[in-house]
Amino acid sequence: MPVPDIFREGMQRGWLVVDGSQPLPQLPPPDVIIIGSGAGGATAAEILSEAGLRVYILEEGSLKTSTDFHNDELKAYAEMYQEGALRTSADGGVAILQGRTVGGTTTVNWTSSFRTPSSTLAQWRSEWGVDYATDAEMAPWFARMEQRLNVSRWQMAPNANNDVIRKGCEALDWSWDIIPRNVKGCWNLGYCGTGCPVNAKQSMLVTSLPAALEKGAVLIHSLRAVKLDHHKGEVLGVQCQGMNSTLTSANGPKVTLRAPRFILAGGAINNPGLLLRSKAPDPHKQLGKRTFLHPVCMTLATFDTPIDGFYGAPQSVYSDHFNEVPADSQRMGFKLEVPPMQPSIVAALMGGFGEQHYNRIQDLSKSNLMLALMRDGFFPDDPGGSVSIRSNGDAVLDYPLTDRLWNTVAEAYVRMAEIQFAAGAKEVTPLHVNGLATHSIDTFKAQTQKQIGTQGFAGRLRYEPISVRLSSAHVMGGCAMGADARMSVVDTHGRHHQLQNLSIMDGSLFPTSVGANPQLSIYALAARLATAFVNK
Amino acid sequence: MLTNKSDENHIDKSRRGFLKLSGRSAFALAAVGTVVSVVGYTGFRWQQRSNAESALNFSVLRPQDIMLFGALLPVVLGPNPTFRKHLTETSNDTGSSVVENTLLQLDSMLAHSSPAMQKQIRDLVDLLTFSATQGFVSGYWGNWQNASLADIETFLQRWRNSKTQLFRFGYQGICQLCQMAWYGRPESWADIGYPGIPAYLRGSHAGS
Ligand SMILES: Cc1cc2nc3c(=O)[nH]c(=O)nc-3n(C[C@H](O)[C@H](O)[C@H](O)COP(=O)(O)OP(=O)(O)OC[C@H]3O[C@@H](n4cnc5c(N)ncnc54)[C@H](O)[C@@H]3O)c2cc1C
Ligand code: SF4
Repeated sequence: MPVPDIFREGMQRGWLVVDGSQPLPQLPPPDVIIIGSGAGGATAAEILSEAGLRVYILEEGSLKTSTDFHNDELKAYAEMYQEGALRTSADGGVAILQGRTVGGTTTVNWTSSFRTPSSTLAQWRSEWGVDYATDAEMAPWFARMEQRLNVSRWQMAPNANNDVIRKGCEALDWSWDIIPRNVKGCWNLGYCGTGCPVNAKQSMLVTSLPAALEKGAVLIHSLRAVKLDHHKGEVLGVQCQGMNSTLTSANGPKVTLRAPRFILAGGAINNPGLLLRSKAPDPHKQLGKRTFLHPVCMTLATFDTPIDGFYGAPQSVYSDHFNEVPADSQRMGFKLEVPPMQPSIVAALMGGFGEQHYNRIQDLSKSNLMLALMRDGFFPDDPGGSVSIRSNGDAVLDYPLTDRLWNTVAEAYVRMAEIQFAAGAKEVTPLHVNGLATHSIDTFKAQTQKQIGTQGFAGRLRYEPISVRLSSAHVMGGCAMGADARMSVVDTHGRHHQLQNLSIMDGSLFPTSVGANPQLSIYALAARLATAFVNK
Repeated sequence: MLTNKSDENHIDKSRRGFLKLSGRSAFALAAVGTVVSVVGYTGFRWQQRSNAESALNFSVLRPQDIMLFGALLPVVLGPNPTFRKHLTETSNDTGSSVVENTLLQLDSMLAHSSPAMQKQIRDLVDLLTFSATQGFVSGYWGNWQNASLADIETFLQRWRNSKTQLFRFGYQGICQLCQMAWYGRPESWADIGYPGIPAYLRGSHAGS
C-alpha cells in the first residue's frame, strides 16, 4: 500500500496504545477516563488532551488500522461491528449496525456529514430546555468540526447508485442535494463500511485519536468497562475486563481504574447498558428510555444499464423533500439516501430465497437500493425504544414498532419507487418478505397500500415486525439530556443528574433522533461540551 | 403458557435439548401467533442436554446445527451456478466442501456475534430438530437430511408467511445467515457480476 499507516507509525513513535486483553503495564495516572473511542469519545479526548489533561480512552473493540482494511465484508462485520453486525432489536424487528473497534462507528461509517436540522434543534430547545440548541449558537461548533474533519460537499460525480436520487428527483421536480463528506484525498473506492484502506476518511482513527495520543493520551483497547463503582453521588472507579479474541464477552484480566472524573462515550445502547449494570441512580426511570434508530426501510430497483453501486463514494446524494412534517402529521419525516451495494450485505437485505433470491442478486450490478431514514422521536406517540440488560449483563434494545412508523414506511415505499421509476428503473420491489417486483408505480402502489387496521394478504403487504425489513445504522439517545431531571438522564451540559463527576458526550445524549445522519451532530455537541468541561 | 411445571421432571436426557412444552401448548404455539408475542421467544425455557458442544473444527455450530443448515443451505441459495456446480461435483450433500466452507463462514459470523445471538440460533435449531416440536412448528416430520427440495421450500414459505413472529424471525435468520456467508465469499462473485475489490488494492495488500 502506497499509503502509510499513520496509526501504526504513531505507535512506533511511542504512543501509549495498550492491549487490554493482556495484563496492563504500569501507566501514568489519569485525570479523566473516557469510555468509548468513537465520535463523541475521541472528540472529547482530543480537546481534553490539548488542554493538558491526561486522559485514558477505553475501548472494548480491538485495534484495526488501514493495513488491516482489505475490503473484506465478512471480516469487517465480524471484527469491527457490535455483535459482529448481527445485533437486532429484542424481537428481531430491526437489524442494528454499530461499530465496535478503535474509532468506534466512525471507522466503518459512510462519511455523510450533515449539520443538525434547525427543526431538531428547535425541538431540543423548546421541549428539553437545551438553551444553546439554536443555529446561531451551534454554527461555530459545526464549522469548527467541519474544518477539523475536512468536511465539504462531494466534488466528484456521484456513482450511478446515488445518481438515481438526483435523476428521479429532477424528473419529479423534488428537491435533492449533494452530500458533504469528511474525506481528504478520497480515492472514490466505496469501501467506507469496511474501513478506509487509504486513510482518506477523516474518521476518529486518523484525526482526533492520533491528536490525543500525540499529547500523551493512553488508549486501552480490547477492554470493556463493565461497571462503575459509585458512592454518594460520585463515581470512584470503573471495573474493567479484557475481551476474548472474538470480542463476544469480557473474560480476560480484570482491572479497576480510578480517576477524578469520568466521561461516558460508549454510544447509544451500550451507555445505558453500562449504567444499568452499575445500578446508577435513576430516580425518574429515564435511563435507556427514548432510544432512537432512524429506522430504515428500502426499495430495490433494477435498471437496464450498469449501476455498479459497490464502487464509488457510498453516499453522495440525498433528498430532504419529505423530511419535514407538520405537527398534525400521521407519519414521521424521512430522509432519502442510498447504501453501498457490496454483495454480502445486499444479499442479506434483498429478501427471498432460492430462485427468487438468485434472480435478484444476479442483477446486483444493475441494482439500486434506496433507503428512507425515518425521523423517530418527534411525536408523543413515538417515544422510541428502551434498553435493558440480559442476564449476562449485555445491553439489549426493545424497540416497539408503532402505527406511525408503519404509516411512514407505506409512504416512503411509494416515494422511493416514484424516484426509482422516474430515474428509469425497469422494476421496483419493496423490501418486505412478501415484496414482489413491479413494473409500474400503479402496481407498486396496489401492492404496498396500507390497509388501516387489517392484516389481509390478497396481494397486499402486511405491516408487521420482520415482514417489513427494517434496519438501523444510527442509534441515538437513551441518556437524554435536558433541563428537567424528571425527564432526562444528564443536564444540558452532559453532566449526570445524580453522579456529579460523570459526564456523557456522544450520540446517546440526543432527546430525539437527529433527522440527519448523526455524526456531525455528535462531533459538534461533544466539542462544545468538552470545551466547557475543560474550562470548568 | 409455554412453561409447564409438571413437565420439568420428565426431561429426556437422550435428547439434544428439551423444550418445556406440553404437547398441547406446543400445538398452541404453532397455531396461535399471539402466544409468542405474549411470552417472547427469548423467554423460551430450554434444558440443554447432550450435544451442546460445537462440532470438530467449528466454534459455535453443533452437529445438529450443521445437519440442519447443511440441508437448508442449497435450497436457500437456489440455482446459484457456482454453488450448484460444487455441490454436484462432490455429490453427497452435507459432505460437500462448498457446503462445509460456507458453514465454516457462517460459524465464524456467529462466533463473533454475541452469546444472545448464538443462543437464539441454537434454540431455533433445537425447535426444528427436537422430535416433540419439529413437526408442529415446521410442518415437516421427516429427517431433514432426507427432505426434498419441495419439503424445505414449503417449510421456508410457511415460516415466511407465518403470523407467529418467532417463525418469521427464524425464516429471516436462516436466509440471511446463509446468504451473507455465501455472498461474502469470493467464489460466489462471478455469478453476480461483482468484480471484487479493485486489482490495485488487492495487489498492494498481498501478503500484508
Ligand atoms: C455502517 C454505518 C454507516 C454510517 N454512516 C454514517 C454517515 O455516513 N454519516 C453519519 O453521520 N453517521 C453515520 N453512521 C452513524 C455514526 O457513525 C454514529 O452515529 C456515530 O459514530 C456514533 O457516535 P458515538 O460516539 O455515539 O458512538 P460510537 O462511534 O459508536 O463509539 C462508541 C464506542 O464505544 C465502545 N464501547 C461501548 N461500550 C463500551 C464499554 N462498556 N467499554 C469500552 N468501550 C465501549 C464501542 O465499542 C464503540 O467503539 C453510520 C453508522 C454505521 C453503522
Ligand atoms: S470512498 Fe473514499 S473514504 Fe470511503 S473507503 Fe474509499 S477512499 Fe476511503
